[in-house]
Amino acid sequence: MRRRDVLLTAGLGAAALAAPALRPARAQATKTLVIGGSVPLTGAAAETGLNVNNGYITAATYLNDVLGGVEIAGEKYKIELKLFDDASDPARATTLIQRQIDAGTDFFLGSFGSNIVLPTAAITERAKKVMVQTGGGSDAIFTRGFKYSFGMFPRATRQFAAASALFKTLKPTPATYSVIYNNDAFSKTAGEGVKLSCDAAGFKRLDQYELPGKVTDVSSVLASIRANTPDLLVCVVHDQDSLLIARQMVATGTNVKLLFQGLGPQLASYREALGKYSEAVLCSTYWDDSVPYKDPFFGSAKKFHDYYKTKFTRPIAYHVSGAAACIETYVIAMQNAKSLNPEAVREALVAADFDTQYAHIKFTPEGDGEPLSLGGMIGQVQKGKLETVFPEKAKSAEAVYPAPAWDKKA
Amino acid sequence: MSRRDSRALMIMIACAIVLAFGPAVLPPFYVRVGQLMLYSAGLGVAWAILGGFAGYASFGHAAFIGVGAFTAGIVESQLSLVVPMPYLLPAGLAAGALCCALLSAVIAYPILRLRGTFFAIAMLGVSHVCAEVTNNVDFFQGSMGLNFPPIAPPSVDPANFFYEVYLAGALLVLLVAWQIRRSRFGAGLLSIREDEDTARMLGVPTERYKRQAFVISAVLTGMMGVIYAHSLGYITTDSVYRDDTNLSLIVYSLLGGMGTLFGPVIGAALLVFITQVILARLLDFHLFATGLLLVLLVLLAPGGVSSLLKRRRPT
Repeated sequence: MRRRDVLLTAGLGAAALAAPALRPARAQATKTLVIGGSVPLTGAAAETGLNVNNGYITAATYLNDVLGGVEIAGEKYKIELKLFDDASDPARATTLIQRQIDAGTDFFLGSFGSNIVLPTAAITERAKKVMVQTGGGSDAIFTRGFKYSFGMFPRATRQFAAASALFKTLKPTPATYSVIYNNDAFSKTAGEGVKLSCDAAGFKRLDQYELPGKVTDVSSVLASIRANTPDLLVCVVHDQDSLLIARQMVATGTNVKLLFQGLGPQLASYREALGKYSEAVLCSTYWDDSVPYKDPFFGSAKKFHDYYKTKFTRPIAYHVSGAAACIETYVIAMQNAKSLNPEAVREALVAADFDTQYAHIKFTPEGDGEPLSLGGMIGQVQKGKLETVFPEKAKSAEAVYPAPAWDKKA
Repeated sequence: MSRRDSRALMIMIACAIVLAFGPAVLPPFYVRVGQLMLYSAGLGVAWAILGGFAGYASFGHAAFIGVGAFTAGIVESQLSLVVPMPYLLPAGLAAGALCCALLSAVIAYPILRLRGTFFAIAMLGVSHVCAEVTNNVDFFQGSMGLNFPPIAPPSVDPANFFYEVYLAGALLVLLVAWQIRRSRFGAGLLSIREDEDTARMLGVPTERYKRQAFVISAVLTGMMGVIYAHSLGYITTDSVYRDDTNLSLIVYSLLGGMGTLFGPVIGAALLVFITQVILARLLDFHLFATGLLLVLLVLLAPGGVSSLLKRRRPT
């Protein structure tokens, strides 16, 4: 190689090496706000973990690319996400979080699954770093006295508070209820929440039925319900089981004044499969793009959804919206605190009382979502469409009660 | 005691003393990595008592991690109001170990009649059955999750405290394995691994030895599971009954050296370092990179890293 070639190669190499160092100098006008965390992109929780990750990315790219960054205490910041795959493994998640704390990260987003969120929250708590998460609802997270962890859901046992608040407003007020749940973590926790909320609201529990994980027939349960009929039948089971229960209720003429199915009626496929019989069935809706909240960044849930569709082909789920709201909540809290000091941001989060495209953000003193603000909404199928009937602020129709008997549904 | 045995003992004690000072000099992240290394090493050696020494490769040892952890959690939650905090972990360890001993003793007879792949798959079945039972029987609270009381003294960082507990656990497992390896029982296990039928023909009580190895391996695995559950503070079925743990236990021995005392320790340390330190920052392809590295390591050193070290040693 000639001397000139050597010099040229060396020069280009030096320029290439120096390029990363020059880049921050050009971008000095905009500072960087680092938010760390781990998400389960592989392993058992990956399916929902991907939704959570997409939500984080959607919010950060929108704030950076469309809005050009966010202004906090008179300075412009771009958000830099430092998210790593915890492979649904709590032990791995703890080392990932510890590494980021050692590197000086002050703000954290949560993983998905209470068994991962709790050990990581214990680490951020000890380091006095803030965590806002949308993946852990277990009571254990919010009963340990953590002061730096905030959840986008009410704790599990309070997640039915919104529905029971709606039941209290119905006229004539229902008196009795029965609950059906599957034998798995999600359903059992939800079932406990139903019992706690409804018992506390003064409804008399007639029966509780635990179905196996995979259900093929509920006729014996329905026979028992016909013999001891409650005003409200609450089913906190999975989508396909909700459909099975509703179909067998129609087939066996099992009527109650109101049927609440936690999962199922939200889906168009459920409403199509059940046709006219889906009328007046209630369900929980944590989010859809018609929620009426005014968002300071995206403007509305619809605009958030539209932007999401430009970034991802994966269908949107409420976890996406909740995850994006974690970042929005951070930014609004920082703007309110006029500071990036973790202690000041924590105090602003404690005082949070504002709208995002996901919901009205407000936390309890223990850090979980305030049950009526972040406890989701209640939807009811009316004329084949899902209408929001609770809370008042998000309402698009009045709740129909009592529901017509199956053979009277037009 | 032979010179080789005493050298192995000296190495273990010296390493333990050096490692005990880890939290004093290491940054918190490396303390957590150290915890994982010690946990994995303890599990790897406990697995190797059956899988490495006797050649019965189990693909379901996570069953004992889970049984130990949930037993301890349930017992400790009952005792937490009457037993002082410092005694909760020993009580949980004793309960977890006892339950694992009972379970392994009960299933040993039918399951150890199987060999090779059949034994491995049967153990996977045991792991899944235990997970389902824990998940579906309300008493175990596997689906709702189980809280563990904080046992670290208030003045000590929990990460440092559990590092030392993990170290003690791993050392105990290593000492037990070392004692087995140098005993007549250990020689019997090795003979089972080499040719079980011939060993029995020559008078080795193969059935008894296998059962004993199985129970010891299960008890030590369960005890490591108890420590793990405490360090997390809250577990569900998914936290402890993990198929990736079942797989990792085999990989530790494969990487470090199957049937050796320190092989699983080397393998565990290597794999934890690769996955937690080197590849942890790769968001999308860390599993691909880990798999590729493992394939390369197994191809380049089929006898494990310890075989490479032996090859380099002058004769």
